[in-house]
Amino acid sequence: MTKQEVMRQVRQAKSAHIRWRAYAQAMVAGLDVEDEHAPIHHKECSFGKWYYGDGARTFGHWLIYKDIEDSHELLHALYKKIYEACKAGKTRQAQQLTEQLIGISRTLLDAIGLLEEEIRETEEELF
Amino acid sequence: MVHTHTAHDPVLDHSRRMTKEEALRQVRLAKSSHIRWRAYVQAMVAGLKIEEKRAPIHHKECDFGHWFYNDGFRAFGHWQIYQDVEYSHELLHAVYQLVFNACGNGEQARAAALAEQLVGISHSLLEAIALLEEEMQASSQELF
Repeated sequence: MTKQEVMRQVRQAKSAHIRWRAYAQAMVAGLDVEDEHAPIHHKECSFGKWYYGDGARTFGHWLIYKDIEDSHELLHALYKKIYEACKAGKTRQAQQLTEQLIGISRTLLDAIGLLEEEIRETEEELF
Repeated sequence: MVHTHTAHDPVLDHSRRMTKEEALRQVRLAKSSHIRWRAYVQAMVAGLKIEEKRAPIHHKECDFGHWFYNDGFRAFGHWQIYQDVEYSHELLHAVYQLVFNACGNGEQARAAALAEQLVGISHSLLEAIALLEEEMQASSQELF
């Protein structure tokens, strides 16, 4: 891939994460959201599929890439609690946890921002 | 893809001076480890069970602190901008101590409010580090 293509792939992965977050927020707001739109497991969401698929093939050895994994796993662990709170009818608790989820999501996006910075600074022929 | 950032990476070889490019990459890795630390703090505040080693309280014990007081100090210890980064980082850990205590006392609302401040200071720290990167870019020095 060219560097431009790699950057586009990362942007699409970020976008997929933001879409996932929107579905999670909509569920907490009381909308009927299909599980497939906001999967609980971190390897089943679209971002996770990219991260453990094409992303791992391209950046698997980069330390900055590996740092992203922790934020993403924590995010899904918290989402599991939110999901369970929603199913148990504990709406207030789910709303409070969602605020935390958004905070971790922004941290994840900051971490991805560093990956993008690293890509920009890497020579074209290394992709 | 052959570009790797592993334990054999020259950036992680502490025995020699770094090129500017390597030094900049080392700073990016340090930023990345700080952001990972922040994610663990946020997860703890959200009620997840987090091992203390994932989000150390003392500012010299987190991965960013390890870099800052070792390789970072060797390369930039005499730079004023480097010293300015230290203040934000120390303040961040002082606030984290408050967050940690609030969580330990079951004061979730207070912990969440403090965590918001912590994220704000984290952004200040990242801005301070960006200035360090700017200074490195502008430096005529080729080896650090």
